[in-house]
Amino acid sequence: MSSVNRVVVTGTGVVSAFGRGTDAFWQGVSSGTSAIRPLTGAYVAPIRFNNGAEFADYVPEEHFEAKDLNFMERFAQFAVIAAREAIASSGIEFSPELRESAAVITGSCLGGRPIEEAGYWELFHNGKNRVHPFTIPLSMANAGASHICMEFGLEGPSYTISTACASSTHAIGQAFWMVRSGGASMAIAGGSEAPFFLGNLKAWEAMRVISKDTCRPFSLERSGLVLGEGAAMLVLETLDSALARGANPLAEIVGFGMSADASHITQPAATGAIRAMRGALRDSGLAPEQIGYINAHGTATETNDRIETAAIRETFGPHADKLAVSSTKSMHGHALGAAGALEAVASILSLRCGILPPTANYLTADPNCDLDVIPNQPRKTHAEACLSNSFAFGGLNAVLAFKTYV
Amino acid sequence: MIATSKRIPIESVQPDSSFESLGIDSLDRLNILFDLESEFDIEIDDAQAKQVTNIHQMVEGITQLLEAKSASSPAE
Repeated sequence: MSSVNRVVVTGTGVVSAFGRGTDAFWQGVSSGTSAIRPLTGAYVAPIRFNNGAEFADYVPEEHFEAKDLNFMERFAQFAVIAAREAIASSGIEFSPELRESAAVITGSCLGGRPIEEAGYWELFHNGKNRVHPFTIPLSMANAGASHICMEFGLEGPSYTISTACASSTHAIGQAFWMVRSGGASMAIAGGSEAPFFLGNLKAWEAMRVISKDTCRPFSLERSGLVLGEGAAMLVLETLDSALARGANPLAEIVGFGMSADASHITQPAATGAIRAMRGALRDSGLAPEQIGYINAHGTATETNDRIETAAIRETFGPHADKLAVSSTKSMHGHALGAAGALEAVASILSLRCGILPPTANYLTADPNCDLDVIPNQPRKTHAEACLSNSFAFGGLNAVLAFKTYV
Repeated sequence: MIATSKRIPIESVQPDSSFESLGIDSLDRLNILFDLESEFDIEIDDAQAKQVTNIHQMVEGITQLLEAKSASSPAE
């Protein structure tokens, strides 16, 4: 195997507030439909916000046998469901050799903490002296990757990255580099998250960054993020192996850049975002002028959107006024460790289908966010290449570059 | 409360001290809001909290919330 392979995406799988499947997700985001709705859980009453992007109709028993559900928290279930679809849609068939060298790299911020929460409640409040015996294997953040490996018998390099809101962008980027360098023959990469449990909702409430309204990225009226849940997985393989088996690449993944702000634990710094975007461009060999679309981090916090706008302007110079930027978080919510993977799917399909998803819920222009943010209505435009930005709390940044495969 | 949370001398916190001059950043603000809500058993609205930039405004805001609280609690 040569040391520098071209890497393509040949399959995608999605679980989101739009339900199961890439089609439902893409139909939603490419039409500008927001899946943000009132929360359905019993925890709603004592919380200061009441909207989220939940997969409200999810029925675990439709996807797993009861004996398997005992060993899987919601986020791990989402990871496996997304991986099943990604693998099926890629049409890839696993030979023993391929299994042995296939990587599984996932991102998750919270893992399966709800089982910990339930156990601690019993300990602290109900006088119980023990927790569920599977608390560790259910809660560990790598459970999603492990269950994917077990279901498909994948035995290559596998691990989980936890960099808050950039987790799955880091995961996809690492998997891309691994396949490009020949360190893995192919990879399943993405992320999953299930953040709707009381302790976590209370923690976000206390950060005072959740909108009580809805998610309005880049809009003057923006008042914070709205949480979302779900998973997205990609099948990455070398262009040569994809073509050899007659697969149809959805897009080429061409660049990955990462950086640390080294500045503040929650306030983003434009310098870090700029270096991550420049890193992805440099890694891809693309000229900035070839980028027609950026799927922004776009959380709809006052600070992120202002700083991200400034960072895009600094990175692209005059070309910043020619490219289109949108935040699909306005529709699928902020799925934390799954956000980057959901947005990678949106980016790939925007190139593939020639439709740029809009920034939904947009009201009034903010002079501090003066880019073409595709307000509310999708746009039929064939971009040659795009970036997908993820800037995590903690100042850890990851950016992917995708190119149309023709 | 602010002096303790920021680990600065209590004398440095004066009514006209701005949060900026005390080196209070966004995370410090969250900490202070949390302490104030616990200390006075009140709920401070996000949007109102964002308007507050100095100690004087903070004290005024808390006073109003406490007055509203005692007005709404039943007379004994």
